[in-house]
Amino acid sequence: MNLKQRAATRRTILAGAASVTALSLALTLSAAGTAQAQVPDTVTIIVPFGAGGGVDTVTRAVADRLAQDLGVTVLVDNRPGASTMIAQTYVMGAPTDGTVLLVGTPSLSTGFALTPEAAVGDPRTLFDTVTPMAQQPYILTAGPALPESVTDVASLLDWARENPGELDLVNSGPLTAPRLAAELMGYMAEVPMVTISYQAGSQGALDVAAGRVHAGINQIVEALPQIEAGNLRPLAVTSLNRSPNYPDLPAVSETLEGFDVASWNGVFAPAGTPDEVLDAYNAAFNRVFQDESLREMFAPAGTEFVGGSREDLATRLDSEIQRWENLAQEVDLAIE
Amino acid sequence: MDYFASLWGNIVLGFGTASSLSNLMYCLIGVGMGTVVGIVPGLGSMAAISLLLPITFHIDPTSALIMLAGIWYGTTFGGSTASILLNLPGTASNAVTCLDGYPMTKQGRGAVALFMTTIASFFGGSIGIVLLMLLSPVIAGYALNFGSTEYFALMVMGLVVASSVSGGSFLKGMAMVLVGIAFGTVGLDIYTGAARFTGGSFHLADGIKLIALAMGLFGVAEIVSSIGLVRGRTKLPPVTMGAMLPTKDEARASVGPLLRGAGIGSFFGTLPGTGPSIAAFMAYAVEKARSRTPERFGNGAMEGIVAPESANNAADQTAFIPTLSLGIPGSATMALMLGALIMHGITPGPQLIVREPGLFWGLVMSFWIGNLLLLILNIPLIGVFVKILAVPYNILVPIVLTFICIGAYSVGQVATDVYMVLFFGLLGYGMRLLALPAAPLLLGFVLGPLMEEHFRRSMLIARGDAMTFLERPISATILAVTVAYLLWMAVAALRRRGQEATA
Repeated sequence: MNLKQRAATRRTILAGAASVTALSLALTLSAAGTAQAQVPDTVTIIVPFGAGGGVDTVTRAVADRLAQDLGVTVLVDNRPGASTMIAQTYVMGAPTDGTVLLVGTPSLSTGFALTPEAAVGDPRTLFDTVTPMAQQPYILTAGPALPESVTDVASLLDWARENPGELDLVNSGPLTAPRLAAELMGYMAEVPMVTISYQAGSQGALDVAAGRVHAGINQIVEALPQIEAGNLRPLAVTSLNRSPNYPDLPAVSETLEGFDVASWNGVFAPAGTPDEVLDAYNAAFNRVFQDESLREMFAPAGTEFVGGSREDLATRLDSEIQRWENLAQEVDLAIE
Repeated sequence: MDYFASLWGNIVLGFGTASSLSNLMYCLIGVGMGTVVGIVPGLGSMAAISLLLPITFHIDPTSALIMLAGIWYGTTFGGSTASILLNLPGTASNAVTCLDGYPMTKQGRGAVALFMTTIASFFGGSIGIVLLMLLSPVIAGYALNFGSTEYFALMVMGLVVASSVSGGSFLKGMAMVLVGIAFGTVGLDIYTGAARFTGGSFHLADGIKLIALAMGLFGVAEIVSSIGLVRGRTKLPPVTMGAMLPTKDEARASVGPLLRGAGIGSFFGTLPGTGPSIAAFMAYAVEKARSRTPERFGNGAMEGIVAPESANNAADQTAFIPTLSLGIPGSATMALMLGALIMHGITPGPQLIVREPGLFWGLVMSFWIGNLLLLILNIPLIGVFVKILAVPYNILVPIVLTFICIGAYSVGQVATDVYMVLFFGLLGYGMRLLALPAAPLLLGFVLGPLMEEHFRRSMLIARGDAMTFLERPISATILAVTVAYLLWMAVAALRRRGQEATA
């Protein structure tokens, strides 16, 4: 077989393969109902963190199911860095036809509210909201540096009042929700506390477990190993309500009324994306969130697939930005 | 007796898991990919693991971890190749190997260097695995005692001991350490979130990437300065099995460095956040400080390659101790592996060994298999690798530069990192012209931010009382050893000067 023939054969094989794909694609499309009329054939979901992190794994599991539901190709693209600003910048400039979506996190609100001059812009005007996705509470824990009598939020605050200026709280970075949760707790209870930042929350949890730092606000997965080993006492979750995955653990709000900080993520699109596209995505995502296997997969990490309307996400973002802006006015958030 | 009986039971259990056909295959895929990724300059285990991660959600967690771990230690295993042959660190932890490995290549002894680093990697890895098997719970316990004050003291010791890494002027070495620390401050301050030296661009918010700095300073600078010096192809002696083997004296002289390297590496591996790069540097510094002929270092000293390669591979293995038994990933790559476990509903932590013995021991035993596979893969390949040098310069260099750019880009998928490589390449070239050593700069860059982080955290916890470093026994001991080392160096230097004067 000479070169020309070989090339010709290869073309036929490729064409054959392409037509098979086209056929199977057509089949899935017809099965998917009406939604795909509005959404493009291929959608790329931008994850603002590296592959393998919590947000990434959640997004990938959702993306798999979204592809089945809509009968379109769903790609997940990691664009980590600069407190999610690299991903934000990418999505800001993306086409508004629904081909690019962004997974937003509390960084959207904390970054803009606390360092507006450094942020890429107001996320409320840069992005349209699609749907709230998942939520997980942070967990408040106490270590052996605190007396045994500290068993809940009230006794922790009592201890802090009796020992003014003593309480150290671990968190995962100055502009992160756990840090702000600690500041908010101190502000609401009128108790001073020192927040100590760690680059990896798990390292912070270890310092609490070893008795070097009194208490911590961490992601559940970061604190879980030390809780299971009996080195950390879980005191409360930071979300407004108790976590359905840990129903015995009280919420901070049971002591400090209205306290509500959680790690959430939601789906955003570049501002100007047509309403019918956003609605179609909202419906599809919310169908996916009902998937029992998806919910079970992430339950141990305390992740709840809350879902909701487009407005729910917009409200959440707006109220968080206002809350952190207010807190920044009341409390000096700079650390010397 | 009970201890050994249960250990033997665990070994049998683990070996059974690790030697199942599918796990053998995943192990082979892992170490094979690790070797490739390690050899290609700039591509690190991070890129390879994030590529394979989505697959791991669909396979058994033990198999997944065996494969990912294979990539992790395989990368360090293979990473010395480009360091030795091209002065291009395959990964940051192989940068030290450039110092003496590349001079050996220039002397036509590249094959010996590759052979010895392969042996060193295997040896260091083996020691690391033995520790992992016997002492995981003990080591995890003492790691609990290492807080910020202890880390800070350790970093001070590291900086002092390792400032002797560079040849030539001590002052130039210290100056480069400071420059390295300065580069390390770029990015968001981890305590206040304030942007430092980012020029207002958020592309620098995460700081300068270690691999960009290492490849620029060593590799690109080497390429730039060799332009015009090398014409056509380098002449290489033919490589036979005989040419790979070290002389009897060299073999004997390597035993100590191998052991010390493995010890140092195992220690640093267990401390999350320090890891293989620092271990390699320390191992090199210790060998140089112990040597009666320190002037050989930097000119192709065998100890200068076997000690760091033994250390970084040992550290790679013991790094699994904090990851698996404390749930603390020592590096971003380890965090990916933890993520894979958590996806399967397995929480790493003190309970892991008890609750998932099949996974833990299966993984550990797969390390033996993986290390053996690496040995078998690497030794026959030495002959192939050495032929890389026979590729004409005008073809090799563009290929290598392309790989460097791809590698730099693959870390964070931003073009800024590629520009960084260029910047550090030019800086490295300028430093060569001024005879300023690159290794201390790299070290300052690695240790500086860690020192700052731990110093400030210690001070925050102690409410600004610097005595905390002397009140805590471990940090006080480390600092005392550091002072003793400084005194010893000073006395040795004075004595040398005295001898020179009388001679």
